[in-house]
Amino acid sequence: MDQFEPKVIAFLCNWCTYTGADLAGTSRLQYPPNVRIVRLMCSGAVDTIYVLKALMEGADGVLIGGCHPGDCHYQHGNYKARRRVAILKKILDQVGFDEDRIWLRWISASEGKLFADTVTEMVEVLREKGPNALRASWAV
Amino acid sequence: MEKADREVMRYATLNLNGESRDEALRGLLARLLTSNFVQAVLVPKPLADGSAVVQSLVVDPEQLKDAMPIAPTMPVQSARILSDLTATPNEGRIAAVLKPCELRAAVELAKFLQVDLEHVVTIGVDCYGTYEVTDYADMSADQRAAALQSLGGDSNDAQAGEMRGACRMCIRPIPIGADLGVGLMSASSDSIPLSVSGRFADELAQALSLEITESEPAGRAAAIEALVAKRQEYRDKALGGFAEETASIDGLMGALSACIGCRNCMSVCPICYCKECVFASTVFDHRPDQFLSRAKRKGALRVPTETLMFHLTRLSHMGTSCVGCGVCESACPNDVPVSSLFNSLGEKLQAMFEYVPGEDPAADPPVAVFKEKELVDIAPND
Repeated sequence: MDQFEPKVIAFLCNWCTYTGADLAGTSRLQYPPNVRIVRLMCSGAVDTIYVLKALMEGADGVLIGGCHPGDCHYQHGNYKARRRVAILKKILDQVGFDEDRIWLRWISASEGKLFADTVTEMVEVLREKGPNALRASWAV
Repeated sequence: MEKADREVMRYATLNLNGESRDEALRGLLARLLTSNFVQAVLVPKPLADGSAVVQSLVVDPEQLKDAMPIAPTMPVQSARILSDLTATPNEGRIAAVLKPCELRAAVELAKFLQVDLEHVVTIGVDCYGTYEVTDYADMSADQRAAALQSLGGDSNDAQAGEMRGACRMCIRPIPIGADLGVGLMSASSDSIPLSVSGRFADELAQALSLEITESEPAGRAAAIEALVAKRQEYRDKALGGFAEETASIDGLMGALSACIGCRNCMSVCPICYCKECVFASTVFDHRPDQFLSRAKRKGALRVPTETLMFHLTRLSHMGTSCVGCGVCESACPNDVPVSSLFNSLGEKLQAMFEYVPGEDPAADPPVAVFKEKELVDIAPND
């Protein structure tokens, strides 16, 4: 049987993590091709609805990348993202969904290697966890 | 509203002088109008055939003759009405007779700038609970009389039938922070204790000729404690069972199985205030081929779509501010346990931020603020 290839949807902020991902690319760093990147202006613009949508449709993991605390281009977007992610994780945990499929990470524009390492690690963890059961759930 | 102001609580007594509690309270509301302290009173009134009690905006004291400040039902959340009544600046004052959960919702909405309490005099009434609108309409005259009795805490609910589930599990039956509090829970056969606090305190005392004292009515704390203990016991049992049932996605889907996506829960919710909700927008108006491709991916697709996502999104958007009033569940045509879902998860989300929605006007709602050092386990690489 083929190895399970997890699918990760990444919501990255324009100013830090997306640029960091760009740097990983221009630096020719290798990382697994399992991640589909969506660029937003700020991690604070990641509404929980996007994360839920990705998971309901069967994504195996969601990565949210923002600027390090104190570095947000819009002052506080990343702090607000952190509260939102904490709230969503709490809800999902209570209803028996593995909240560790959602990762929030601070990765700056200069941390191309950290981005590549984070994606590599996340894909490994998700591979271990196996597919998101919601992928096969037609009635959600 | 300064917090310090609200903490100073003073008391007075409303003597019944042979009148019923309702009559005495109507008289009190009438004095607010006739003394021009307020230009209107928001208070429940029965419809002509008595089968329903609805919120009404009264300006003519004559119209208070049948008002029911201790209303048996909560057909709408009055915080929503206050939002409409204060949408634009208005100098004239309105007195609003509110149940504790309506007061909390109003305070919560004020924090999100959806209600302007500047010219609203809040009259909070201790609450023993409410009946479903449909149950009340179906009651016989005797049952209604029993129901009204139970609202004063004078009888058990047996004859009238059960109160709403959200009320039976409500552990906040006291209108904390109301400008004028009606202390039903420590009322006797000849008087009702009142409390005044906040910026209207002195004017209220004057307009109503109240004799103010500093000491809390005897037995009040004990009466509240006893009721809350009973409620807490029911709450723990009901929500504990619910949490167990919904401890898996399949279990949650089971609890939501009767949901037809009508969005009634959302449209009656006082806290879900967005004028343009994403679920009412074109975001989910997919093209036919998009439905088909989604169906192809999973082999089948439940339609209408987004059942689970709707409820989980709503929880994540306003769960931290849910006041637990349960109008969502009352409005559900299919008895989906939405109130249990929001009460159960709401209290866990609120506990994360040590927040009680609508209780302290000075406390910021969790989704609006942050601390620099918190939740470090959520984004571990920092």
